[in-house]
Amino acid sequence: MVAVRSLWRLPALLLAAGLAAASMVPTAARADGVPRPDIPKAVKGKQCVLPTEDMRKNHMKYLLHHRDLTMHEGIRTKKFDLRECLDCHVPKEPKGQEVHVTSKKHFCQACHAYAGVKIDCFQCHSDQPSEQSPHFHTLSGRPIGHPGHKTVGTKLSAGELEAMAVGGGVK
Amino acid sequence: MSEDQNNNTDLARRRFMGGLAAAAAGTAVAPGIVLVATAEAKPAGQAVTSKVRWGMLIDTTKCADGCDACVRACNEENGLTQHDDPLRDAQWIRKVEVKNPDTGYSHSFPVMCQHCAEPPCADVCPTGASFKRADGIVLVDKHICIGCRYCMMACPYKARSFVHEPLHDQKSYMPRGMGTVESCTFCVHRVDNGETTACVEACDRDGHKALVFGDLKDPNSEIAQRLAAYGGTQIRKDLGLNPGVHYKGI
Repeated sequence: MVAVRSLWRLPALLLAAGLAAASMVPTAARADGVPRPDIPKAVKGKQCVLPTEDMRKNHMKYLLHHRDLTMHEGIRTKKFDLRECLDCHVPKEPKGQEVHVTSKKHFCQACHAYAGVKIDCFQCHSDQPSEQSPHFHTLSGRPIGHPGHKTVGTKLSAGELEAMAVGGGVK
Repeated sequence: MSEDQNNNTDLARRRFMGGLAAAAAGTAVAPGIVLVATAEAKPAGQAVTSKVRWGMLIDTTKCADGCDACVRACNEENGLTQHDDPLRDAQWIRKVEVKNPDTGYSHSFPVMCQHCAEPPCADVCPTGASFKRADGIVLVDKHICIGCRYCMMACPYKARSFVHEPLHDQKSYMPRGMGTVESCTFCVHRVDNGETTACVEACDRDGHKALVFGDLKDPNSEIAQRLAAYGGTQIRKDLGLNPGVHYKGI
């Protein structure tokens, strides 16, 4: 009987342990007392490519769809490019001081740690804002930046370019 | 004016215009530096098509013994030298030295993924991770590669590498990870942007100009014209794989 009773207590103990662990996570508790993850603010840009609520719920679907298009068909639009996520959401830091995805200060990890969902993107992909390809140079008339940033010979004003960047890039 | 004269005038005019176009295609900006217009990049949102077949011509008579500029450029571009140890780092391109023992004649040339029209790696891949893109570039979709290395055994060119150890600080445009097979991508991230490959750029920079990259299906491309005029050899042509990499002088 004693053993059975202690078994019944197990879920309660686990719940208590879980709550204790959750309270150790640095969170921004709202007025209602519900803990929330500390999501770093975007480094640049005012609005994501889609409404924030949609991105929070569906970003993995958009990324998965885009990854197959890029890999197999060579479609390299910027809108759902993983590098674009990192360019806006992860600050560019000097060598040795980068915030890596192993840290909860990394934009992706902040939520994923909170939700208890493992990310496997960064086993292969860089978790840092994009860098330029070593042989890219301005002599060829191309801007410095990663190859996806194609604005060669543009006659657009800075304002128009900004709008394109926010609106999802050159189609 | 007779019809004959008319035709001659037209021909002369056409030649003159052709000369102008050729002059415009390569613009000298300074002595020794010439800007050459490369193929127009496809729009980013457009899928690649089989109207293009990317290929490379390697002129082994121009490839210098002991020069490894292409190999270094590839390593740097794709971030392959993480361990700084050739025994552990991936190898996408290598210099091969060949010598005829009878005559003593030797020369060297680079060998990389030959981007076969009938890639055996893709044939044997159990998951579909090894595949050929519509424009002829053979790639590994590392999202679905299980690291079985069957493709490495199937490749007659020994062109592929397996990543044995965890990697970090990958290039943002070239994702690479442990447990997957990889090989030369023809610098697909550059090609999709209208650029040429890193190895070709390095060879040109060093003044050898032994490598030509371009569209085999475009009769006006430099590679197609040179192949048409001077011919070329494919390594192990007998296998019937129709590689996209052609060699001259072997």
